Amino acid sequence: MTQISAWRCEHSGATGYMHTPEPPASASSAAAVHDCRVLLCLPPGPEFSRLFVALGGVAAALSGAGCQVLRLELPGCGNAAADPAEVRLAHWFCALAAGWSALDDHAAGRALCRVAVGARLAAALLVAEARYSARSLGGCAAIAPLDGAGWTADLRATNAAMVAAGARVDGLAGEAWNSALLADLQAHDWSSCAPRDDGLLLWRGAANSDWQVAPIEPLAVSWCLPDLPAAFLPTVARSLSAWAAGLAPAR
Amino acid sequence: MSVAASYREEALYLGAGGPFAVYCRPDTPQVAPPLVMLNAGLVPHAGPYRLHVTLARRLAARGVASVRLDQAGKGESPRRPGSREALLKDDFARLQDRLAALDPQFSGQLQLFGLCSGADDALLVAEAFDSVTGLVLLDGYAPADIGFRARYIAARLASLDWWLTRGRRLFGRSSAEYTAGVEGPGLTLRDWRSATEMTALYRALLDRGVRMLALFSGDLAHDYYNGGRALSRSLGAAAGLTEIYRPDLNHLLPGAAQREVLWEQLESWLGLPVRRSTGSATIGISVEREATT
Repeated sequence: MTQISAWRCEHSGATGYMHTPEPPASASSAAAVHDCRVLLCLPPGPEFSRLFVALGGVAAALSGAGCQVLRLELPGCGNAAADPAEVRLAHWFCALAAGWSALDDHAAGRALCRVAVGARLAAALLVAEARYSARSLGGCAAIAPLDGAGWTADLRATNAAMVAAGARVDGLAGEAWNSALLADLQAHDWSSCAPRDDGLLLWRGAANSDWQVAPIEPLAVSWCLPDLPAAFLPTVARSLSAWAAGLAPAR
Repeated sequence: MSVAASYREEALYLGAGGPFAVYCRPDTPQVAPPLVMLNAGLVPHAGPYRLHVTLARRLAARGVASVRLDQAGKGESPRRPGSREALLKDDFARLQDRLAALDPQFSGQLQLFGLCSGADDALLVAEAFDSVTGLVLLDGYAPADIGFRARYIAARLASLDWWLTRGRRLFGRSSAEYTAGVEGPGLTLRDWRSATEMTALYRALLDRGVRMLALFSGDLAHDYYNGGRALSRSLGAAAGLTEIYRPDLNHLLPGAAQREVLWEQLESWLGLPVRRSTGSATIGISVEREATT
């Protein structure tokens, strides 16, 4: 039985949910999994609400497998501070760094394996932040990753579809994402961060040399699909749990 | 980016396996009962396009506390066995108990805010709990009155777009389709009682002294509501009900300008001293305002 508690970083404005697993009964093979610290970042934009429940299930599955998981909401998203009108890319990187710091606090000095899990733009942000901070990742799961330019293009396409359907939208896809953020996202070099592909992409090691690709069902999700978690969760959660169990702590 | 705020937010896990909520309260004395925001359909507690978050913080800045509640099986709240109505009442009872223990300013009274199915849920909760003193219903129930079809047809005939592309639909729909509203197949999130029962429910709540703000968007114009004070007229004398039709609004209120419209209505209804915001966008569409108080 894992425990979930709310998490908030006053400095960065990020919020989230900390999933703390039961401590291992003994120093068995389960201990390796308990050395995993998973930062699961919820995607900004319309996908936040669409994937909220599904990614909560993924976090629960990972936590159930023994991983400490922080499900993080970036500034301008969910309960986090700031509005989309004022958030910048640097704030998102700061929030991710705060998330890792909170997970490191749970390590209590032990060697640990940092695992990044993100969907869509959040996946690219996690990798970009790790590279920027020279942070060693033991693994990363990028669910249908999308880089900043792709995210911006998706927002514009969503906005155009809303307008075509008769919506009177004065923001971008319903929220007031600011032009400076969009410029940040366009200008950032994502070339080594997020291969654009629909699927579950896993890799290990800082060298990023051995990509492992495990395709999942396309994320063709939309509003008000009551069966979304049931359709989405089993494959992703099983894949991630099995994958996380095989990761070794970084030294 | 400043994250300093004049509010405090606390995440509440309401018992083992119970619902999740975020309580947002001002640092200043509270000037009205807290507003409990129910899920809009299956959208998590942040609300569609984060509507509930922005609204909660704006309310807190004006001295009004609020709760963003994830009902059982939605958002952060786990599923539990039980009927929707029973779970809803249990969620609300747990919330009341926690607020009473948590906040010395909590008077025991609450107001409810619901969009779409959230408005339906708000009516159910208000029926069961005398502690509910106010309702904000966005695109809630209204009877498709006798004028609905006439207004619908008139609007179509006045629409060039309709003449060019969709004229055949006017005569292709049965009268039952005009009044079926969202009770039709595939949209089971709305499970209204019969029109007679729904009217009686509104009537009973108003008689009990529950104040209501019923705001309807233009997205209902094809379904069951297109103005004409249909709700007020169905209730006869409806003291305590403010009914507003804004055909310029969309159902989920995307964008700042649409939220500003909601905010101004809410500000007025809550009796907060009006502060006009500066620099906000406005929507340049004619508006029919209908209010009965």
